[in-house]
Amino acid sequence: MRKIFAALLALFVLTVEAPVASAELLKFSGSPHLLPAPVMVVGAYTPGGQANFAVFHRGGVLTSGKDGGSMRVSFGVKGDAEKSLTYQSVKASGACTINLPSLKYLSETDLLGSFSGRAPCGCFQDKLKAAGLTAVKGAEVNAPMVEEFPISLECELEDDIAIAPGSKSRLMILKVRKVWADEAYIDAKGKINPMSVSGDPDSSLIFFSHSHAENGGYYGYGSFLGKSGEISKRYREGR
Amino acid sequence: MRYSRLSGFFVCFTILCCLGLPAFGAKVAVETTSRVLPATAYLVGTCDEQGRPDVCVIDRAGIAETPSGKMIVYVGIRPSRQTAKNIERTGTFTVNVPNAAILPQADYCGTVSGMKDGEYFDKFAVTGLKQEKGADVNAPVLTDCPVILECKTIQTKEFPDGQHKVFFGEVVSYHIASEALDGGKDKPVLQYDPTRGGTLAYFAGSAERSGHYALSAPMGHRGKVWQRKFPLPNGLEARPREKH
Repeated sequence: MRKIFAALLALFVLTVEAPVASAELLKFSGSPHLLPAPVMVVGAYTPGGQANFAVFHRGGVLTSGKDGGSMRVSFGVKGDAEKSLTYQSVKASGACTINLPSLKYLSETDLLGSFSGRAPCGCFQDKLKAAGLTAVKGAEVNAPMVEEFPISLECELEDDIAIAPGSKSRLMILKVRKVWADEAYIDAKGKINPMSVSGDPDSSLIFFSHSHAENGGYYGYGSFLGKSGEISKRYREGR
Repeated sequence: MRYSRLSGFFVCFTILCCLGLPAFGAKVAVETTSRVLPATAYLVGTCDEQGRPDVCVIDRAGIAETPSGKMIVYVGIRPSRQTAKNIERTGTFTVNVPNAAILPQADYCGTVSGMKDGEYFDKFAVTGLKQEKGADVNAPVLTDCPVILECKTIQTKEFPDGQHKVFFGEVVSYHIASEALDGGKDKPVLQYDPTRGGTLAYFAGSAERSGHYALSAPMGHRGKVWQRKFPLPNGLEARPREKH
């Protein structure tokens, strides 16, 4: 009898104490390097004139222009920036391109991000060639683009800044001079979409989460949830 | 292979040139003002001089830098917005990641100002979003969100022809919903599951497919994906990589 009573009590306690579906928030210090960020393949000519490409996820759109003025984007060079081939190349030429790959080119992008354009001997190695991709010179700036990727931004280096005291990382600040987009991504209104208008999942632009969990890593755009403004209509119309 | 591609390219290029459209490959030149980078729409929380909480939606945002053991994030906000004024005054803000469950409420916060005709407007009362004062900053933590960053401004940048002022914030502490973490829930960078965390994706502008998205299924890990298609030897030599 006592055992049954104890079991029932335990069951009651467990039910009452069961965690509710809504979140229990845990607090941490340190660097939350885990949120999805944009995958940007930066192209620049090395001081030796070769086309080099490297992958960055720190950065994004900084500002849009007054009355259609300059759009500015950024990418962050980690560690000792002066040792980075991309940093040296962009500083020397004053220009670069930001190429946005689609999921179709995820393997190629990961290859570009996993090797340096500087081989152990110190000489240049052609990552783009190894990836089977094609470099095309920019129309407005002296920097190479990736022909196969759906979106490319030709950019002029405006500034590079240190952000954290005592850190050698730099944030590259770029003025966008020209934007190229695959026609399949352009809709009837002439606007660019983050995947082809036909909705092919392989055509989606790419995010990267630095989380090392099983589900960390690369992501694309998934299902569409709603348009900005429209999705919150009920709150503006009163309830 | 190269010849047929080259001649195909020439034909396309010639035709498109005749049409007056600058082009290369399948790409055409478009307006330079579109925010075409993949983005996230964050809820940015601040307090005014009376400690009243406000929240707005910002998609010009991201990681600026990850110096040893820390993270610097940035948000680009028009100086005329109440949020920008609050950050200027307090030197603090929170970055809150919305999930699908609160997306309509989150989206609403980007459509109205926290100050209407000189009067404080309480978006939390309208939406029912929950908030409490940050542990380490004078800004609201939106507790419905799966990830929240508490930030202190360390630098700002403005541009002569830019609309937005960029605030760089050092993340002094952060919160993650327990259910978004695998394992022991004590090492977020090793355990955070973006799928369970429910972080959303965003694409700015007025394209047919601009707006809010769920993330796709996970597509693979950095440094592992290339090996499927380009196993060694692939013409490239590895250099011992720095830890980051």
